Amino acid sequence: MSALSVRGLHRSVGATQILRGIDLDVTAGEAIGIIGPSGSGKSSLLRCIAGLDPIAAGSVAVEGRATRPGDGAVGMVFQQFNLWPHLTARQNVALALRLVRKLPVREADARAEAALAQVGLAALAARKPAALSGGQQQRVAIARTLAMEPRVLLFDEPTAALDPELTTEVLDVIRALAAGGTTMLVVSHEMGFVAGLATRVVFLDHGQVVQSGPPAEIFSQRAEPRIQAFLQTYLSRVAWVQA
Amino acid sequence: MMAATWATIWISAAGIAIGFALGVPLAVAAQRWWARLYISFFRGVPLLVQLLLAYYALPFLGIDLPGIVAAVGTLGLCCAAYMAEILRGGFALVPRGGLEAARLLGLTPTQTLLRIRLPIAAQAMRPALVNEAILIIKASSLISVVGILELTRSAQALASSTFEPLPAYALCGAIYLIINLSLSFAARARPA
Repeated sequence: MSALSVRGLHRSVGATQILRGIDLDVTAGEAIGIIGPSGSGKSSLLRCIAGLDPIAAGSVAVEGRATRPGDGAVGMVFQQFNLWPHLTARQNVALALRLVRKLPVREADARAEAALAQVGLAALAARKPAALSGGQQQRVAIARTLAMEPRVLLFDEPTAALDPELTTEVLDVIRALAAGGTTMLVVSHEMGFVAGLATRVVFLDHGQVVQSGPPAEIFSQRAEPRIQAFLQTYLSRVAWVQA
Repeated sequence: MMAATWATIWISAAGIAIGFALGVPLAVAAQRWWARLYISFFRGVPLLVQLLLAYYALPFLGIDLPGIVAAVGTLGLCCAAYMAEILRGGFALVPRGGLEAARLLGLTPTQTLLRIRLPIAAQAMRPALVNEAILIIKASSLISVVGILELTRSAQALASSTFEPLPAYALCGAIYLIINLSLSFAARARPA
């Protein structure tokens, strides 16, 4: 049984079709990289899997069961972090443990500290989001999601709102999670990161899967022409002077 | 006058507490017709008229309220209308992403309201909420019309019994000032 199974997923907003029949099966422990041009439906796909956006047709199942938001099956890390500004890092992580998992305060705090330690932020647990850098905020958001132990973890452009020098710390955390066997789907424009992280890369365009395969196949001359054209725009932006 | 000062303080505090407690659900339901109607009525009719209605007119409908209930109740119901409008503005400032995160993590709508939306809204709207609390404390001088001996009423009594209005009303005004300054100072001193 696959960890995540997406079947014939359609989503429309008004007359516009955002997703047009997505099929995707993810085995436990896989890290799926999702790439594609702006407006291709990458974020919509994650939001539909999470249950945040309504789907017009098709189905989403985690370990064979249909999901709904808040049932703990799917965790999501957002581009804008979406931390709660009035709570400290520890409280951000502990809140759902207390209210949803009904853990006693002491245990919820202990687990929150452990999750923060996992993303390298044990020392900053008492800080509020405003007193943290963007990269640190995103790591708190990752810890908050991890602490609830979702079956599948979704990353929606987790470094797109960060300065380049802050992306590394976030990407390192995601890499460590993937290496540890966390089942994940990552939407990212960091092509080098996706190539190194993903067990499989899915290229999306106009709400459809154009091609799906191991990074060595997608990031190569064997990929579909549309993918090569897309990747070309990235290559042209890399400043690389050969000695 | 000391007793009357305490009466003003606890009646206002009770009115503000009721106002906040009722203002939250009103703010959540602000688009519903009954919430609009409620807010329109309590903001549109003078508090003095509301007090007179509650204390002198309701008995004709068979509802005979003690003065203190009419006073605290009317202050609270009126305050709720203003609190609702303030909080409605505050709710609009809560980023949608934070609510989506709460939903995915499994928080119920009520938990999200009390733990996420309300604290963020109240924090953002704190100056307006304190302002409303001060207005209620000052408006509590009106409850003397339902026979409650509060600060203003006791100053009037003192002035007419001593034939010295100046010290009586000066003291009365100074006490209101101290109460309200303490409140706004306390609100400002609280860490953000």
